[in-house]
Amino acid sequence: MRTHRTVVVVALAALGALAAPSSQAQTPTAPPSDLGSPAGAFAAFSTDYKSLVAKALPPVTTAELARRLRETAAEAAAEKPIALRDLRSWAALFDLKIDPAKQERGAEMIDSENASYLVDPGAGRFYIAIRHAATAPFPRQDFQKLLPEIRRAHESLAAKIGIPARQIIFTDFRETLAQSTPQPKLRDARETAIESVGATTTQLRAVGGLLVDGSYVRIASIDARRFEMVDVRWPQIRLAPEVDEKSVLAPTLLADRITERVAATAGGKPVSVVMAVVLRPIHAAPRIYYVPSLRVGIQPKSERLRDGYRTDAGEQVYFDLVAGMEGLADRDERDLVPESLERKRNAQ
Amino acid sequence: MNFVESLLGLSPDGGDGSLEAFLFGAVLAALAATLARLAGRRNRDLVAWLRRGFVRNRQVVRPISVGSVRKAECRVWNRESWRDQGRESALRRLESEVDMTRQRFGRSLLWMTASLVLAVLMASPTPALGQYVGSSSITNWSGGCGGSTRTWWDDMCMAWRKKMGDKGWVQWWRNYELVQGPRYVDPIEKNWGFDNSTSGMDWNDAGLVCTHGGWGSGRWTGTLYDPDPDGSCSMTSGTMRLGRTTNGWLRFLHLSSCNSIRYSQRTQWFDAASGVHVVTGFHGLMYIGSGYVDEYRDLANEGMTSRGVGRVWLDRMHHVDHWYNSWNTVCPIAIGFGATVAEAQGKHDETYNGHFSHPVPNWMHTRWKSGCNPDDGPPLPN
Repeated sequence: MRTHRTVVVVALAALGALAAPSSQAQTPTAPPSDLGSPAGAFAAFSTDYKSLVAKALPPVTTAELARRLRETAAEAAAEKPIALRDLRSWAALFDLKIDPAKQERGAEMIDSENASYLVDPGAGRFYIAIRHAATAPFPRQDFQKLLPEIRRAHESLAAKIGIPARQIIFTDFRETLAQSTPQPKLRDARETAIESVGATTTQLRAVGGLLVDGSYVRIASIDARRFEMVDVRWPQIRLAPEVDEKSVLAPTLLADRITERVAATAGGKPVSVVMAVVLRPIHAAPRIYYVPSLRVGIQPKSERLRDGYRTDAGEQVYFDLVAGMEGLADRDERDLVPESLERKRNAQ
Repeated sequence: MNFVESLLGLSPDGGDGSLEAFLFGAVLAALAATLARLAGRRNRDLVAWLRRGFVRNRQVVRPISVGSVRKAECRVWNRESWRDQGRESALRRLESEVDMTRQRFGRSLLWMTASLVLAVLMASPTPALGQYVGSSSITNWSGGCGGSTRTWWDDMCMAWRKKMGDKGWVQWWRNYELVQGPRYVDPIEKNWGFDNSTSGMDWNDAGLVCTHGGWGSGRWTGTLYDPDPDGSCSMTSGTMRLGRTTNGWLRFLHLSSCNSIRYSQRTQWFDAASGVHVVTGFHGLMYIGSGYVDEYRDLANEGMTSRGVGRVWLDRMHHVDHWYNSWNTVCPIAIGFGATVAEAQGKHDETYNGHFSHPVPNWMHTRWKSGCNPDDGPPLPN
């Protein structure tokens, strides 16, 4: 009897774990990575920017970063392209009929009867939005029962697309919630309960252990069968020609430049700082190249005013970790393409 | 592609199926212009008459009034700075000059403008002509209101506006020192407000404001470049009246600004809803940087015809920024308005080219990502 009761309790607990948390974001993996700031860096506010930067710098050394980059290059070289090759294979995944006249329109949004799609194989971009008949929101209790199935459907679709599981560093799964509120003048009307209108999975990518900025898969659906939007940004990883293991720099070597930039963003006010070594995309159409870069997040502390709070927007900036390219990432977008890639593009 | 479309060179992907409305509007404009010429009717009366009767076809009508006032408007761009200097009477004189110019230029230019508009419409690759997209952004707060520099903010806003422009929308922008209070304030609220004029944000069908934000007294407070005539540095929902009911045009308002729709203060946007269909913003802090530029472009690209703008906003602006040993999220919120719960829900499915009916804002339908936990704000309901 006791065994039976224990089984029931364990089963209920398992069900609860599946159903209750609608936001099933994975917690970061332990042990701490030397590619990012220590956990909690974003919680420490100060006007001593030099000290803030020193504490937030990822401890990875030049030699270690060079090794990671070798691994990244090796993994990228061995990587099989995702299963999708073109518009036809993308449309087939969703049983869509394609108008043959629209197949050759390059990386443009194409509208068909019940869907819109955009395919740019060179950039590893595949997008579709499928239009469904309007559906009423779900009561939350009903929708929570669907969550495990929806999550499995999203994972299954990502696998069908050919997303390599070993490159998924982080999965975020959330419901989209909704609530209707009446005008205060409608005295008899009452605010509705919170309802569910869908769920979204976001998978972030890392190659050779390095986060790839701008590369992810996002799947939104109304339920387990009705996908609403699928956005795949999974380009082949090509390092920029300037990047080799002899030219990489450890983040600590850029401490002064970073401090200078943090001070400029903060404007004398307290901020917190967090950093991560990532691969930054450089768009040199039709391809995307990557540069090892330090992503720096700067969060201003909200400021108490007489009747509320002033909350200046945060900022994210990049410092490329390649000798001779340190200042590149801070310039305007049109200047971001290194000269060598510009030459290559012109030669094509 | 049918015969008419091929004749006009119209792409079936370029619009929302409003070809009939477009042709109907073009014919109306030609008729109205002819009538006005024959009868010597005053331009202002004509425009008012056209607006009253044929609001849905204003893509044909509105350029007429734009053309007729543009010259005079050039002279009053800096009206705010005039106010700062206490030169109210001079300002009033210039404003009356705008009215005079409307009358003086109006009649003679009307016929030419109508012809020109018709010619452009006939040659247009898309029936979206005449829908206006506007953006305002600040990067350096060097005026009378302070703020930390964010160099990529204008690029983010511009990416959205230019993509809308690529889709055939007419672009409007007032950036940097031109982000002045009266442009975002309805004259119903303050007599110095002119948001419905060609210089105001409510002139547009879709607008995006990119500026620092704060919160307090139940409202978002967007930071202006200079203090407004009342001495305030804040753009707020309390002085906005957006949409057709108060003579504006906005159907979509996007706020790229921290705490622009803080969950606990979301009902503030009832005050500003005056026919506007969808308002979108952020709960808690949002971030600026080169990495965010593409998603604003995507918002325009995907919201044009493929998905409801409210839905695209939620999916594009929701971020999970990973830092290996921690991660943080950016939390977008979208609000649709309607006379009923169903209508307010339905507004989340309206595309930029959708042209749903203008709502009576009895209800707001708010959407967000469950449990999203932004910097500088409590987690959203889970």
